Amino acid sequence: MVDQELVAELARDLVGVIAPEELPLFAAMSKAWFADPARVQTNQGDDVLAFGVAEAAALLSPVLLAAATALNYAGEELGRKVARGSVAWLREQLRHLFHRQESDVSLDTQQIAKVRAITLETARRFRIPKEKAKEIADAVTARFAPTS
Amino acid sequence: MRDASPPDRPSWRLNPFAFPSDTTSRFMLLLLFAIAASVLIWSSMAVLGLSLQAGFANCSPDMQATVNTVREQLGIALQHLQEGTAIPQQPTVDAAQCYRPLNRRILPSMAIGGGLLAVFTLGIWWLHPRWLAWRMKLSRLQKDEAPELVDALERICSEAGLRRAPDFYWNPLGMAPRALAYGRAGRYRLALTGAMAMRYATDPSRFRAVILHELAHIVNRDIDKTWLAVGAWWALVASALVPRVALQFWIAFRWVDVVASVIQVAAITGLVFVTRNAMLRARELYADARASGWMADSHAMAAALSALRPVRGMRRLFSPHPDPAHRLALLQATDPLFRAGFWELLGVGVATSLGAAIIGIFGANVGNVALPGPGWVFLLQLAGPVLVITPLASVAAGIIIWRASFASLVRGMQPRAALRGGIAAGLGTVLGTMVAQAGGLPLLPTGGPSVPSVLVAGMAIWATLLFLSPIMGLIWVEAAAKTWIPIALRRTHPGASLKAAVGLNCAFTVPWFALAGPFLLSLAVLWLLAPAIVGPLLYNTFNAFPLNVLGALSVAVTWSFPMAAWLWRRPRTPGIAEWAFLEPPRPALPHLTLPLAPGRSIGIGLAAGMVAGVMLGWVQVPWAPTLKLGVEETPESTRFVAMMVTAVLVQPAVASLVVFVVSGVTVIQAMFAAFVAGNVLAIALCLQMWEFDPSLIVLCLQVSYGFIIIGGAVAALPSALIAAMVKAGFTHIGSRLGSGESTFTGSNPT
Repeated sequence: MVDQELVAELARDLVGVIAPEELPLFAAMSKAWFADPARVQTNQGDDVLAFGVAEAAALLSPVLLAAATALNYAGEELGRKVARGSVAWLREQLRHLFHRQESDVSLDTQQIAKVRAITLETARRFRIPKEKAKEIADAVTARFAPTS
Repeated sequence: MRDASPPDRPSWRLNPFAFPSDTTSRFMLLLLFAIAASVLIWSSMAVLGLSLQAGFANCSPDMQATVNTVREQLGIALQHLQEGTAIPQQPTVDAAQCYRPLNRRILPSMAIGGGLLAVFTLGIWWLHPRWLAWRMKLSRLQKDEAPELVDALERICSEAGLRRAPDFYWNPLGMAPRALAYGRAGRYRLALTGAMAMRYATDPSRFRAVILHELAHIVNRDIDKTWLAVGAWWALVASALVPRVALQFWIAFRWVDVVASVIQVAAITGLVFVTRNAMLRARELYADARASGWMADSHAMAAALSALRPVRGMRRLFSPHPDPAHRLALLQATDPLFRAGFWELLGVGVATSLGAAIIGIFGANVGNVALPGPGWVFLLQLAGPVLVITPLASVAAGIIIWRASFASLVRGMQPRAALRGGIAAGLGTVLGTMVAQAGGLPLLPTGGPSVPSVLVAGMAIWATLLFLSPIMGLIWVEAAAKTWIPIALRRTHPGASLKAAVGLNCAFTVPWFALAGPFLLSLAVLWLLAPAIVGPLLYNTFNAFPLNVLGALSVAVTWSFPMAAWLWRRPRTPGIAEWAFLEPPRPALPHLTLPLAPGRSIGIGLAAGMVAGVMLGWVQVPWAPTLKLGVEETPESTRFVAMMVTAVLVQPAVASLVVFVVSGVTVIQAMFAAFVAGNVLAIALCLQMWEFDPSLIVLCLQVSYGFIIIGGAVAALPSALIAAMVKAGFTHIGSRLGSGESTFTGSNPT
């Protein structure tokens, strides 16, 4: 339903908002992510030899790429709700939705809450500090909230 | 008038690369410790696992009884030797025969231990790039993936002046900011996580600081050492510790075995671990120093270091990373890199005796199996440490003292590292011997005759000499550094001469560490066993050719090597010592003046020698001679001996006088003056003989020269040291009263 291109597009959009400094390397990172998501390393580790800065996970692109897979959930939910229309049409509507453009589809409050929960869980898996995780979740859910 | 103040600390950073770094000496120590640990553990495993009893089965069914019989026989032999009576012939137990089957089992075990350690260490070193690539999930950074990042990295590599840039690897999904230089044998790599890579755009100055730090590891040539060190530790764990623990479950349980094993294994593996981490910490500090030297301002480096995790308390001893606060301080002053660390010199001492112990164990086992007699075994046990271990220890300890002396002299202080460092090295040698012998505890039988008291006294003297030998050696190294360094600091570049001086100095220190101890031990034991023969033996030793010439030459080296710096005093291109400081602008060092004035020493030595030489004719013998030097006791020979003793005693007096008259490195100049006086006195003595019979002059020189020169030097050294301490006391009191002279000064070259 939801392809890499769409996930990357949403993730790039989120990176542009939350961590714009990561945009220059985003293409390389997303390529690596789609090739092998297991390459993500969150550990601060007790590196014996590396020059290791004592900062919490300082890279958000992998988190945002993972969070963008919440699109899968949104796509499935919308696909169930909307009986008619092709996959291509649904993808286009989803793109409109998270770009905050006029869209024929929308998620209800419960589904948006679920998207938020998925995003928070993803951030927790990546050991992102709570405040940052909330910020990411807010950014993602804002993409699916109905435009007023 | 010149400003004679030394450069202050914060403004001028000393160049830590002027001498070989601590990383190398710690690496050598680590390898020695790892080999010692492996060989000792495997030899003790052979003893425990293969059962010592089996080795004695051929000659005695009861090991305890055999050991006691050998001990009894030794006690009786020593008692007869002391009393000067013949040793009674008894049916002897051929201990060598008893031990031989055991030796045949220990040797392969030691070879397996050493071999496994080498294979594992080299294996880890060889395979670590693959292992790291797997662990950090690295891939080659292609230019089309991140062209700006690659450009930035290449630019930084060219700033560092690398002949060949490393290959760049990365994990773009690595979320913690990390950078690491690794690789092997000249093919190095630089690995980055995505979080670190991103900083080329977000924080370029900190990114540059971190990358320069990693490149500094390549320029400092510590990458291979690092991975060999890491490999040696894990190799020791896998190839020695794991089998040793496994063996404990297999053999019969005895508390004494367990306690001895725990002491030995914990001590030596602990040493390996602590030394490995000390080496890893040292390499980080030198990389910081190198990288900060490349950077125009140190703020970016300071910012990068400030972001590191603090290392507090006891973790400082065990952590592979130095405390960031310590690293930040080095950006202001590199002086701490020049300190002669107590623990480091203690480590050198421990390594020396552990290394000697391994060679001793190896020599005993090989000798008993393959060599024709105990004399050869003894020679192997003596020559091994002298040829292999002691030079390493001399170089490691010597360079530490040279570095410390360099920093003190540039900062206008008297070098004072040798005494403390010598005490540390001396303690280390005694401790290392104890650790090496701990493995033998299970072999100590209970009951039976006690160890002969003479042997116990001999061992006590041995321990004392082990302790004192490095102190004397390092004091001499410091004296040489005090003469050579001020002269080297008058040149823009020290050239090969300083390196040669450091090398020669370390080489000359070998006898202090190696020969002085065993030689003095032999004398001490001989004196305990048979005091009557010591005097004649010494006299004959020092007067027999070529020992008399070699002895006099050795004595001459103690002052001539430091004094040789004087010949190098006029630089072809006098100028500011660029090599001494890490970055420009370099300061002048007006407080350093020539530390030697040989003219005065020669003058005093010649004058005192001639006056005393003339007065030798009036020497009378007021008491009956009791020296027993092995010459026929006639009135003439007695007077001759008295004149020789007088010639010897004049030299400490000359040495004391010179200490008070000259400035700079006083003890060395005092020894030189004593040598000059000794030569004049030896000639004067033989001219007196010439009056009786001109043909006696050559014979006179043959029988007296070695005694006068060597005896005079032996007496002059403590005399000069005491005089120097008294003089220092006066100077201290004088400075407290207001005539302060806090800087190191010598004679004015003009």
